[in-house]
Amino acid sequence: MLASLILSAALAAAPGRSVQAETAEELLKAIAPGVTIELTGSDYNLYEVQEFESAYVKWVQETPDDTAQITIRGVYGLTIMTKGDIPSRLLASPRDVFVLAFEDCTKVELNGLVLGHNPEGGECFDGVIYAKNCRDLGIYDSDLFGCGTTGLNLDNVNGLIFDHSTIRNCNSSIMNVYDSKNLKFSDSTFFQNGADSGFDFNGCTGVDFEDCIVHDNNAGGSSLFNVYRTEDVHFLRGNISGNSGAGLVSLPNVMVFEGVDISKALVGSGD
Amino acid sequence: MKGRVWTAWAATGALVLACSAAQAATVQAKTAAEFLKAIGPDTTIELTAEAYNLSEVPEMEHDYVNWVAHSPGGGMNIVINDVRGLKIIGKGRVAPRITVEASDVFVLSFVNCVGVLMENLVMGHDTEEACKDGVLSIYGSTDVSVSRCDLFGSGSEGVRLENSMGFVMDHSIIRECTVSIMSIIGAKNAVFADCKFFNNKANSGLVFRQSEDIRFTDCIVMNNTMDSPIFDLEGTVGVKLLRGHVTGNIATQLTNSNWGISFEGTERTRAIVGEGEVKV
Repeated sequence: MLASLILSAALAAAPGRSVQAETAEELLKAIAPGVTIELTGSDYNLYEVQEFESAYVKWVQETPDDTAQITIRGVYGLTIMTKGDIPSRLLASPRDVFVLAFEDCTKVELNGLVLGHNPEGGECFDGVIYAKNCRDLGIYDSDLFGCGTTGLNLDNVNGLIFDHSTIRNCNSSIMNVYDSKNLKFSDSTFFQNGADSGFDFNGCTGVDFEDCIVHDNNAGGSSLFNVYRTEDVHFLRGNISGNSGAGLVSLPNVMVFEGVDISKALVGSGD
Repeated sequence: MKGRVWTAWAATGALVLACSAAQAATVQAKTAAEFLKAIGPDTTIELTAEAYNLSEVPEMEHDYVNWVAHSPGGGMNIVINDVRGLKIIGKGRVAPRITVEASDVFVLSFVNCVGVLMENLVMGHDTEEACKDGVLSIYGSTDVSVSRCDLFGSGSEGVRLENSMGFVMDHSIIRECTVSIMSIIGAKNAVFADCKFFNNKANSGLVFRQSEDIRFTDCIVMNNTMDSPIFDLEGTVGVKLLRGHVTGNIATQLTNSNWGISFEGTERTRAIVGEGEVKV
């Protein structure tokens, strides 16, 4: 425990190192604690990179038939950002993996990126970003697109800022969040997602939406906000309109809507 | 040369600061009448109530506000004119609503104004009728800004910007308008940043006439229906979209201009849905 604290303090104090990456291989090889990776290229096809030895990047294969999932593990203080005006695209060609997965990471920031499966469209079996046992994640000015099943899949995450970003065209739901807390979504737009559900929160506390737009999503037979064992969910200002689903919120008295008109949140049968 | 420029800039800055210091005033308005009475140069009006129905305010003598009918017997447009340095700020976590009841007037019009800011407001018509006029009309004005505002229809259009320069709209919404999303006519140097234009069921989309240098950064144009191109340009150059999305619209084509508009990093593979496809 003490060693861990000392390591954390040392990392926090250490000056960050910046690395430029023009290819997917350079990007993956640069991943390490305390590094800011500036992407200078256009497209990064992550799954075209040959597996290599790394302390922080693992190829995790759950069954022989699955594609190995690229997983970033045990990193503290990593930033991946676009260098120029036009967002760099992080892409996954296999449909049965997340584009990026994080486990046991702290203070990871993605900034100005487009992330999704390539080619766009079709049918996927996993989502865009997966994070498990992580703290203090930041996703800024980024575009998460489907066919990924979900934009975000979070499990035991404490601290997320999702700001000025989009989740769109995911083919199952917008996000699945389990046992997580202190999540903030601001100035972000969620559109044209789903067929199975919308926002799924299970075992979560402290979820804030501010100035977000939720428009034209299909929650199928679920409520748009599917909450279970969850408390303290706020939606402040913004707009919720033109979605379909079985209802707006699955349970009463869990969500607070303030300054947002929910009269047109659902169209059709769930109106 | 550099020294002269600096001296001129410093003198101008000092003058602006002196004027601001001498005349700036902050007023809190709890009613629509208090709001309209407070309009004047170098004034910050803080709106602290939830709703402001401008149609409830009788016409009054005012140096900077006029009630103008566009046609005989028509509704009276509230026109703010010849004002410099006016800020209209919605206070509180929830944006105040500024509405009008008549369907044939703009919610607010500005003529010959300089340096106006509207922030954290919801503006639209409070009527069941289909509207014949829009939400904001800005004519002959410079440096008018709209920040964190929600402009809703059935207003005929969200913004009508005419013969104006330096318009900025950021973190704002135009939705559910019934004739067009916006009309930009004879305008220069307008910026739309982090704005969303959606669910407008109109004849036209974003209409540009005889305008130049109109920039859209990180904007989303989605699920609008129109009988025309989404970006409808005539006599206009320098419309630039940087990043953002154009998606899910029903329209005849993406744009009718090959050279007046450019897209850089804008996702538009699903710009048009249904029978149409992206036609540039």
